[in-house]
Amino acid sequence: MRLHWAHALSRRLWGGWGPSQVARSMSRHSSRPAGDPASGAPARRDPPRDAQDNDRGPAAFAAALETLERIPGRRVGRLELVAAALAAMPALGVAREREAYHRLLRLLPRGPWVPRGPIQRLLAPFPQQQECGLQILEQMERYGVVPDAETRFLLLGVFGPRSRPVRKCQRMLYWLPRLRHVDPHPLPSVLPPPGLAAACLGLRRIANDPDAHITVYQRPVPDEGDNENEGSVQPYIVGAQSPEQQELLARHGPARPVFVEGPFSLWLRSTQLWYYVLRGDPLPPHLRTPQTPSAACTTPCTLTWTWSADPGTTMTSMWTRWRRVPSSHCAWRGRVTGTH
Amino acid sequence: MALTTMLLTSAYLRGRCCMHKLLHPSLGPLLSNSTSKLYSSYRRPGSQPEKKPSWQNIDFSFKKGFDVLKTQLSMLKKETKDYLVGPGGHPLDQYLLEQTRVLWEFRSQEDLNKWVISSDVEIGGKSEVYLKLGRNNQAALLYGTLNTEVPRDGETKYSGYCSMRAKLPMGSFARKKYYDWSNFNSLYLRVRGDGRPWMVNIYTDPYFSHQKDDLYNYFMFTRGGPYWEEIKIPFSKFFLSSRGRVQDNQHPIWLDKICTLGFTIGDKVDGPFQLEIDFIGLLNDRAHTEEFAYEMYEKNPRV
Repeated sequence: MRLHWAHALSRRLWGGWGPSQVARSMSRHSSRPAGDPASGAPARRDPPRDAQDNDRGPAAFAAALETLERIPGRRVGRLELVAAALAAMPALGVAREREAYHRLLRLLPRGPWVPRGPIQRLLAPFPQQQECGLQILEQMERYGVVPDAETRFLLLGVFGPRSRPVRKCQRMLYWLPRLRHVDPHPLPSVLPPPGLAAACLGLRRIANDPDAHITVYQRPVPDEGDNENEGSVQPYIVGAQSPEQQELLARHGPARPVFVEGPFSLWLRSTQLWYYVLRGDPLPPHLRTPQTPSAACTTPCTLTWTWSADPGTTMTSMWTRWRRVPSSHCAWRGRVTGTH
Repeated sequence: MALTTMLLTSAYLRGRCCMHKLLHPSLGPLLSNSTSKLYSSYRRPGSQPEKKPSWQNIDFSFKKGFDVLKTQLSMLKKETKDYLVGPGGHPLDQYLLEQTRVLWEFRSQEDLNKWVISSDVEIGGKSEVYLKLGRNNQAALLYGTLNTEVPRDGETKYSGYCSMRAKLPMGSFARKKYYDWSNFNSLYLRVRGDGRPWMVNIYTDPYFSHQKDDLYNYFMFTRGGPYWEEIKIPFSKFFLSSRGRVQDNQHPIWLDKICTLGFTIGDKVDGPFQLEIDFIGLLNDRAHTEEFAYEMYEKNPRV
């Protein structure tokens, strides 16, 4: 039944927008690309004037919810509103903001969805509503948003203690703060945009040596007015070389070739970079200098027992297998990295 | 000979309850190709359920049965000899004193055949994964492309994963065998990645069938770059999960009955990935005294 007159009446009597209109405007904002004024056919009901001006992501999200926050109106359609808001959040760019989820949780009614008594709790009360709460937390988990004590407080008010969303929030509060710091080689939280800065970061990561020098060769900006090149980044070549690699290159005889290999891919979270390697073949065994164990060795000293009755025991042969000869790189790191 | 085939297949079917996702290498050629769906209890939404009874898929052929019997008998002979040498086929002093062990080394195609690769194509996704030998046959190269496009079947919400799992250790006549890693406390991997995070999964075949989806997981972060990385992951860091959900009741992994080790990538980033593995080994790190990395307090107390 389409009760247009009922919706219009409620709007006139109580003002503001109901949840269904908010949900519809949210889906419209997310489908319309940012900065594109009034694309497509005009809607049957005009959106509020302030939403037309703020067409950017977080502001559009805030504007869509603001009317409903100011005048809560009737307690219907909240589940659809939450579903539409969750679907629209990635497009509007607020999926990684905890505050956006808090605003959404504050729109849910506090009290009506709390089971009263142990018998009602036994009968799996409010399954759709609890599923809705779980979907909010699931989206937070998917985008790496760690819930707060405030999130837990809001969920307690809406769903009551011992409900599935509160249990899931407590679980997230246990695991996510631990699993944030599990990476032994973390990247900075804000990555530079793809370009020279990202390339330097990638090379510093690859070089594996804090003493490595990074060199940038970049064409200078031309003095004459070459209008199409003005403001653009001049082409560049970035390279990194550690002192050990310099030594190896100095010892490398000009009669033996060096090879440029690549491109190999390196991922910095969600950016892919490509790098090339200059390498030479390893020396034949009789020309190699014996390698001394590096001073910065972090492996603990292991006690290798040898059985006196059997001198050529399998223990030492297994240990030597791990100290293998560098096969195809300029410098081989014997240092153990990445101890978790 | 028909009796042999029936015995082998009945052993396979009995063991199927706890290994629903993992392949049986020795019995694969005995059954026809269409039974690959039998190995997994997952049925894609919208697909027809299996109507053919399982006994109709068995191939009653004398020649094949005879060949299988010969291989099984030779495996049994080898097992008896290993049993006489010592635990795990190695002498007793090695078992008592060892601090390192190399489990899987990738030097030839038969080393690669001990592993199974899979991706989200099983659930209708579009990721690709391939496994081949690396340069100079010195490492295994696991590469492919991750695609997080969700299959449109109305049920699936997330997609985009690729994995590589070791095949189950099988004794003669399709008996389950287990790895005993109780002498060690860390996993030692020599890998070269491209900067993407991986997850290491260990499956310990549980006694009860309702625990059949239990996996112990931990992360393996690769740096990327031309240098090889030697990654040590202590077993005390592995947390328990079931069907992909981290459980509330955690306990340290029991190392005496390990079935499989696996690597998974699912970091929600579309694009190609690459991992070279030189070898996978075990280490008894005497400096690592931690028993379990996670506090055992009640994670969902009565509120």
